[in-house]
Amino acid sequence: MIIVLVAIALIFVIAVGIGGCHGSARRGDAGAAKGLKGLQGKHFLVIGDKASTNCAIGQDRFGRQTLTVSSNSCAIVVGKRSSFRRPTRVVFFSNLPVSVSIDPVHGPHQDPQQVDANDCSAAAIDHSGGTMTFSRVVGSPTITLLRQSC
Amino acid sequence: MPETGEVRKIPLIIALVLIIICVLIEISAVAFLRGNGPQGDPPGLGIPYLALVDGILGFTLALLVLALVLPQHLQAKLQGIVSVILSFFLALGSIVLIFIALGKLFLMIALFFAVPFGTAAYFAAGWGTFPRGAAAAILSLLMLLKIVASICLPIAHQRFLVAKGLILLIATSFVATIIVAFLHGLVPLPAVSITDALAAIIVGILALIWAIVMLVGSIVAVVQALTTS
Repeated sequence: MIIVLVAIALIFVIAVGIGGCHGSARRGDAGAAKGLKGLQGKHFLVIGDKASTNCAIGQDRFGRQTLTVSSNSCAIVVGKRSSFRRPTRVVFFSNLPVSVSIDPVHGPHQDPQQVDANDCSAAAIDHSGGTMTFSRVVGSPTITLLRQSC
Repeated sequence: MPETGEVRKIPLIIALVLIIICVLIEISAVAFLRGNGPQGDPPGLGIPYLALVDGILGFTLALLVLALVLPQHLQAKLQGIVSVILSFFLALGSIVLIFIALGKLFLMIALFFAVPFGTAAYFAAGWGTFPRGAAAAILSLLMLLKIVASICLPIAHQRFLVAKGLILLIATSFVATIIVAFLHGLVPLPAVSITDALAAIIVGILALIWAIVMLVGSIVAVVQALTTS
């Protein structure tokens, strides 16, 4: 029995010791967590599916939804969904620089952040919903919503 | 010295007290593992969820201690009824907690990989700064208490070494603690909250399996007690 307990203690010490190997990990280095990427879900933002907007809606030649920020700003409101549903993934790019801020119902408000032209960006909003605001920087940017990862 | 076949009370009570201390530490660990986010949400789920498995172990040891003080006929009835009620609510609670951890896991994964806005939200929520050192210290203390409790049991009576159910339950408790420690150390610091939620789900499933086993066993015991009386 003592041998078994010593073995358990050793395994535990090794398990804790592994943590020390990651002490100086970089912010973007997900390591083994990358294996969980597949759990992100495939529920991408679609206007009309519990999401509404006051932006001008359109479609590009590939059939993807587009939003045009014709006034100073416009927003997408993502409604509440069932608690058992996975988060809504928002993947988009804009043809012109645009400022984006996210205000989830649950969770901290995110201050506006500028996205460069044609840069693919992503966000996620949990089942409680939230508001995503686009503010124009120059011209009238057209935002294309994607239904796949960047 | 106790006679042959008699259970030594003091080591058994010490084992029970140590496991109760473990459960209390696990539940109160929420306060120590408080995140740095603006909402102060605790990022740790894995350690508090260990209380589910250790709670079952504590309950089993409490029944063994009660067997020393209660008359046998009363003990049999009380044990069956209390076990049915407790294991039912434990199973129910485990299911709810598994879904809570699953929801949190999916949200954290979705945010973490949604660069740049999701990742920023993940860090803003305080999930990127999991207090791994504090968690390791708590887990080490829990492991020490569990090892001492395990040593106390065969001291109380050698027949505890051949009680397969009890040995399996103790082994589950050790395995659950090692899983949490291993998953905390497996990934770099920013992603520890994700693997911690994963650990919580695994521990929750282990507790659910034990709660179902206990529920079935106690229902059979109650039915047998009713039919014989």
